[in-house]
Amino acid sequence: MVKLKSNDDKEFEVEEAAVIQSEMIKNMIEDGCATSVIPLPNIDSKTLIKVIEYLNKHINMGKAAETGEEDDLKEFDEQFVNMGWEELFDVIMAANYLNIHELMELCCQSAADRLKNKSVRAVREMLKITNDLTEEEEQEIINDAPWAFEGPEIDDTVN
Amino acid sequence: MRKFHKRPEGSLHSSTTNYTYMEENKIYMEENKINVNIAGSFIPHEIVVEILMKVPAKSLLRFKCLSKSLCSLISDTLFIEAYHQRNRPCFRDFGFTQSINGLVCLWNNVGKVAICNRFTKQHVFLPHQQPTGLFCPSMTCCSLGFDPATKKHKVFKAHAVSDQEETGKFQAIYLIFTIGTDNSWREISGGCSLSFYPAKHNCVYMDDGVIYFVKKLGRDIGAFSVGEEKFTRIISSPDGVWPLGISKILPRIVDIKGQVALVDHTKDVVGDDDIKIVLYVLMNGGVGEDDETWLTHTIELPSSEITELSHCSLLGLFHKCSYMTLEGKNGELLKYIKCYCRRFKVEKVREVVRRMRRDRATGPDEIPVDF
Repeated sequence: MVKLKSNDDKEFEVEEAAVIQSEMIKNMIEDGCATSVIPLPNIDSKTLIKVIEYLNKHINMGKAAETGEEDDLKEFDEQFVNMGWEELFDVIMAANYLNIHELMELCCQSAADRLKNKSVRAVREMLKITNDLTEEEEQEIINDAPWAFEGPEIDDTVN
Repeated sequence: MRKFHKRPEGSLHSSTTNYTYMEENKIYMEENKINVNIAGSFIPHEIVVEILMKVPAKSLLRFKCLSKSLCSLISDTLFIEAYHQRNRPCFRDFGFTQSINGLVCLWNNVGKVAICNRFTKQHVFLPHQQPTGLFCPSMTCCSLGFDPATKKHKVFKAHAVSDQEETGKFQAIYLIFTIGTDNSWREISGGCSLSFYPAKHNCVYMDDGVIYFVKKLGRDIGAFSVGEEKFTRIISSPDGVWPLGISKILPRIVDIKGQVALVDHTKDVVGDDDIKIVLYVLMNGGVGEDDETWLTHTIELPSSEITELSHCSLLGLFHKCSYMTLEGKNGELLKYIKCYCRRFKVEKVREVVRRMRRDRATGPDEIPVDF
């Protein structure tokens, strides 16, 4: 078992088989630096719980294909990314820090899927992006590729 | 350049910004790292890049309007390059092109066909439908056509299949697809006959609504009516020189000023012989099909101009134009209009063709042009 500590001082015990999906921790274990608790100063307990949930489900990914659990795993992944934007970004940042490639892919893909085909207005609202472009600058971008701003697939709803 | 673009001036390796390429096409900028304020907190540059890499190009162009930092990120030449590497250009597999009325048809030897609309910038991949057979069927001919009656564009293609490996006998299968109407290719009834089988990539669509092609067998000219969806007639090849012609390679069929024409040529230059190009133009006296005659133009090119005239260089014939291109010995293209010649730098043409093939055509601000 490996002990992980979140930035709000909560400790979590995780099986080594699960935690080595993180390249960062795998390297630490290999280098013998993981004898006691591993502090994770960038990750809060709420996010760490999510990450551990993912790691536990994805132990022995290779075996899933043999035992026919692929669909189960797919369903888990779909459910897993069903979270708010802020939470999603927290998990992405944690996955990036811990270097968990599969989790990073899953969450970035989810973010991209939510963003694609959205209108500019919808994305601004979803991600709370402040528009710092002047009207002229914005018009110039639109004039460059007006076709990118038209089309039946463009979705103005916020979710 | 726009004032709000934070793109490095001039070269990619600008001294003010240190870019390093990492394995997974991530862009690392040691300085000028663009962090984006999203959902109330700063999201590191590499994560924003990672997400944007997975967004379709059209959405990406729209997202330039989100904020200044996102605009400069998406406009960054290195980002665009990495985006292309990650998202393999969708037209990469297509080696052949043809266009009529602003529609561009792309295809390859195994029968994949894509249609791009130059005006709406939309593209569609036609169903990859191959006739089944033991021998891997290859598509030898594909052409766009226009049906003047229904005002619909259609794609015609021919496949060669063999169902008996031992005999090696080929069958011809002809398929047609009406763009905007059909969901799958329709086999042309009365097909399976090799008597109309077109030679490899040797066909031309004419404004009379007919696709003309050089037949593989007999080497006459076959005609396929796009509106009627059937083979309408066979035009005898020019007397005397056919089927062997000057070279053993089949002549190219081309559209010269609205007339069906064939271009034949001597393949290699032996000794000091001048290269001969013969152009046969199908002339119609106006009375009807019986009144058709081949008009012969012979173009002699001094051998000092060109060291080698390969088949490939003749493939570079500009259809729809009254000239052809040949590669000269000094890496230049010689452009002939009958006996009148002009020179073009071959590198220039190659560069343009290369960019188009790689789906890497870019607009004035280096944003990928998405079809």
